[in-house]
Amino acid sequence: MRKAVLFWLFALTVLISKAQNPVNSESLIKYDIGNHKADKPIPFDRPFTLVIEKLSAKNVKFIHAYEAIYLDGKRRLAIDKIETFKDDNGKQVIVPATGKPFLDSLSIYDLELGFNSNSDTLQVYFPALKPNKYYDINIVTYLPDDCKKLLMDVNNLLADTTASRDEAKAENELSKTGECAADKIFKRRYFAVDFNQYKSFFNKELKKYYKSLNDSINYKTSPFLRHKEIQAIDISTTKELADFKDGNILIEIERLGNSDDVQLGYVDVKKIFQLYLPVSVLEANLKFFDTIQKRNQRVISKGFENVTVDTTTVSLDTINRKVVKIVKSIQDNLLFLKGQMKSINKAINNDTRLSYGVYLAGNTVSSDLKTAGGTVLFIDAGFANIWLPGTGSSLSYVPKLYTGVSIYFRPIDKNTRRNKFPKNFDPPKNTSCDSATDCGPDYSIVSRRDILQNLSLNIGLTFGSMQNKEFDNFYNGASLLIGPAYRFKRAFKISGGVALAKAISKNPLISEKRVVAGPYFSLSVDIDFIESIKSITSILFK
Amino acid sequence: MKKLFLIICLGLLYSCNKEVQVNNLLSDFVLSKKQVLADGQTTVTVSVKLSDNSSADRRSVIFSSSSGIFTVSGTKKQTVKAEFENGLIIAKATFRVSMDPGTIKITVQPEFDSPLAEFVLTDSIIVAPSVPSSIKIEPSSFGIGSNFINEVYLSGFLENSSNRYVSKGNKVLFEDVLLSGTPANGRFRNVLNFSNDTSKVSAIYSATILPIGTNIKIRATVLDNAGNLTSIKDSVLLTINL
Repeated sequence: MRKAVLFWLFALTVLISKAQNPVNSESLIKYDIGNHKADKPIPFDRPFTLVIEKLSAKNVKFIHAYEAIYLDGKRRLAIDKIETFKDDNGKQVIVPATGKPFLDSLSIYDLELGFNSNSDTLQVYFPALKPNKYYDINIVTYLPDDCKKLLMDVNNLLADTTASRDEAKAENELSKTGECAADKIFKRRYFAVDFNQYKSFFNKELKKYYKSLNDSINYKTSPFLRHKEIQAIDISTTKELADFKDGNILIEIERLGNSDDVQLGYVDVKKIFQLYLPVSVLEANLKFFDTIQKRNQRVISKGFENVTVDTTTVSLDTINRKVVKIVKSIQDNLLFLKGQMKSINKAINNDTRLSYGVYLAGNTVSSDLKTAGGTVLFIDAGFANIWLPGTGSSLSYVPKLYTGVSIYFRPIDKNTRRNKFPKNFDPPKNTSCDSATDCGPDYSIVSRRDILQNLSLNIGLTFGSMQNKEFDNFYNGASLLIGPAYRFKRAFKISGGVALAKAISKNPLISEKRVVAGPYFSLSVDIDFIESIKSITSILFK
Repeated sequence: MKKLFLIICLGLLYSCNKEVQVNNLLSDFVLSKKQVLADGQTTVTVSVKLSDNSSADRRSVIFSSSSGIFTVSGTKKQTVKAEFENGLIIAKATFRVSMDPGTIKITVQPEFDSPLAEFVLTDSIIVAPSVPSSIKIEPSSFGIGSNFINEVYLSGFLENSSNRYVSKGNKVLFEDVLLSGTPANGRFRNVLNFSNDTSKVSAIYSATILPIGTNIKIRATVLDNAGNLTSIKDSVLLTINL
């Protein structure tokens, strides 16, 4: 009874077991972007998820994988180099070319990888890859803030509609932006526009926003506090709350008469002699006047309505209304500015030419972004039907048990099945294209359903002596079987080919047995499978 | 993959070897004489060449004959191990012809039996009759008793012109006469009047009543195939002494 229960438990486990993992990945591999090291070997013929710590998925636009190779000791993007020429109709054609100098920028990407865009840690989903393949991952993100600041400088220069517009300086700033966006180590970049292209982009996508930003009609300003009103705030709040330390700032604004600049964000009230970007300045100014408003309102809430300054009675409510209007103006201006900036950012982010690439592996000698090389040799045992030419005119049937080695033509993960791999890629393979950016994916690193996953060369040795005395074993008590083999159902293998044995000579004066070759057909099973059956039967029948 | 398939095909073709003919094994089957007399004494040397690639443990052949004997074995068969002779692997045997005229078939074959076929070389020797040219009579005693009181053993030996045995079956006629030419009327018994395999004839003779001192002439004459007397003859005188 106990044996029966164990058997059925095992059978059910085998039948219903299924990998528990997200998006069909069979394993999670952590990749340290700092030292370009994976925490375990990258599998082949199995989908997996690469978890790239210290890299957020928030700003990622897309992720491409490129096959890499080592050329003259350097890691390069393997292509499938492409070259351009004009066909008979004068049309420019770009085709992969071999034997030409490598141009990494023209490399065709192999694969677009999926990723979890909602995760703080970047998780990249890989399909099953071919064994022994180097590859680079190119994570393309929005421009980082430092590069975007440089680009904003370019925009400011291009937005200048006056005669003094300095295009040379704008071009220089754009060049700096490109350098900023280039990968710091590998110098590959996704900031792929020249000055004229960017000008076209600016005129088409950004100019309208800058025009709007430069139009004063879109901004609001409110009357500023008078000198006596500032003093009234100081007197009332210092007495009732605490010392009004920012009073001098308001006095200075009132003295300079640049309260409009304060509300438009040209002046930071805290650093009143310095110029800053309007958005951040406005945010600071808004905070400042919001503090004054609250301070004033607290005094009013204590029951004070008026303050007498040098015989002049100042209404605290009037002051409060003025401050509220100023705050509202700054808020409106800030909203307008933010809206415009958001539109500008969106336009920049949406253009794939204005991107930033982070490369994993890249041009280093790291071999960690390489699929593992599995074994190509497997041992199995089975039964061979051999037909040997003897002294007679027909072939003699010789059945034999044998053990053999299967030599595959590529590394094999014997726990995978052919139907795990796609027969055709979606989207289809694309290596012929009209421009370099159109190329790809070409799926060079991706495992596809292939006969080589099942086809091997079988080299087997029979055991046991020959019952038919006309024959003898080929060498040292064993005959040799050589032929192609086909693996099916993971553990089983059929093979057919040539069997080498020895047979007596047809010449009675020759006693040495000659080597003869005959056809064979065999059925075998993987030795590991036999071992697992042995272990199960030992549990059941011990 | 194509190369693998090609190698497999070549391997299978390699095993399709040609059929083996007897000439691939044995050749140059030579008899030193093709025509001999059936005198039982003439010998013939037979030899055969074995193929150069024969294994050392398979270099024995069996010579056999339809009549006569091989000198070493003393029978109609002899197993001979071939040896190198001037760089060739040669098996050799000596054969002695019988006294029966006719054709002797000589064969040679490997000692190891092939399950595939019989590999035999055959040749023949024509054996002509060994014709007598002389006969000699020898009595066991020159004296003989009268009235069948005792007997004398007579043997005759036939020889051909080379002083060798004659073929078996040559017929001899025994006669007894008195010196006067009249028959002596004695009696012969156990007469072997056909030459045997030692070229001999014989008879036992006893005399009738005759006076002591009477001479009896015993005469042996070779007969031809038709039974006629020939000139080949011999005689001895026996004297009545009892």
